Amino acid sequence: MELAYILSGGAPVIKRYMAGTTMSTAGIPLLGAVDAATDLASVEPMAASTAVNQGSQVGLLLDTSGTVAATGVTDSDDLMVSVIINPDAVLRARMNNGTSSNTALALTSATAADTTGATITGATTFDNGAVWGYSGSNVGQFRRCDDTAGSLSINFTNGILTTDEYIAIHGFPCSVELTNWECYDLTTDLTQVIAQTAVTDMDDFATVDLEMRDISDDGRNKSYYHLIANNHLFGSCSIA
Amino acid sequence: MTQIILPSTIKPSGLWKKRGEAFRLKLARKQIWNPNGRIPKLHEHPGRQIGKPAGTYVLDLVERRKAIILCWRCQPHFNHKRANYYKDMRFSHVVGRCDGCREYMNHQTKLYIHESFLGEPGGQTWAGQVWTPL
Repeated sequence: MELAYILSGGAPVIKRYMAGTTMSTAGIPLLGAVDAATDLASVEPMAASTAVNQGSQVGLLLDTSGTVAATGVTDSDDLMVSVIINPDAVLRARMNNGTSSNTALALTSATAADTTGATITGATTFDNGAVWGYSGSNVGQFRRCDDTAGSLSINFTNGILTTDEYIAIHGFPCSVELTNWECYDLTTDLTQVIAQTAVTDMDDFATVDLEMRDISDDGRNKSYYHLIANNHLFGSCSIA
Repeated sequence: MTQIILPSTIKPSGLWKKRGEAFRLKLARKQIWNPNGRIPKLHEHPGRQIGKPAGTYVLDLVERRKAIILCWRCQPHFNHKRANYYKDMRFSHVVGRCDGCREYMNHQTKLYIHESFLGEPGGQTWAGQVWTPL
């Protein structure tokens, strides 16, 4: 994950905080301390997010920390980490297939041609997700999928052939439907987003934009989400 | 006391001693300029310790591959290429405290990131960037 831009057009604000847990990978979301209980003694701020929880974010990690001892943090420079704390920071995260980072996205194709371009018959798509042409007649176009697998909200310009290849992911810009298909989970190292696997929990990113590349630009490995935290500690904070 | 010698053509006011003392008290009271003043204790790291050379502190950060922020005055003193850092050119400036002079600036401040944290392996790199694996 990396900073794409600031939504308000400003500059990234960088603070150097003490790490609450050991963080060995840069480019991951960091979490602050939020607990429904009044006592935060057991909740350490500046902790790495988890694959399924990015709530109460404080920003994006720019470097790594030393080992945080279990007996408590020490005031060592090695434990200081730099964080971009803008609540309106848009993060650029690679679309990944599965929990292991750097896995190419899967392709899907129609089992039957559709000259109207409205349905990718037999394809695996995601409710309220995006699908775009990877090769074939609809390269350069993307559409939003609806509840039915393979069905599009608006038809493609060109007819859909069985030889066409498409990439379908969950998530669509400017759209949040609070079901499991529109939410995001991170890969094991927390640097990429699982794009083609169903997730079972509500996570805390909203989609600003998508970078969808085709076969000419290695779209299976070079497609990205542009995400913004909708549960940022310095923006809007919710305790769940 | 230091004796001030003025040209004979200049005749200072008879109150110059009194005014000088008043100005000294004003500086001390309001702390208009205090280069050694300590930054109040914050949760954020205060940066380089007072008295520690700026270059030493920055080299400590380099050894730990930490992100470095430098203001426009301190940038020429840091050879980021030799230190295997790259200057993040995606943003014209960042907001933060300079690791060299401790000045908190919101303009003309650059971010340097160690090349091992550059983008994503296999991902698209930006102009002027080189990916070096760990």
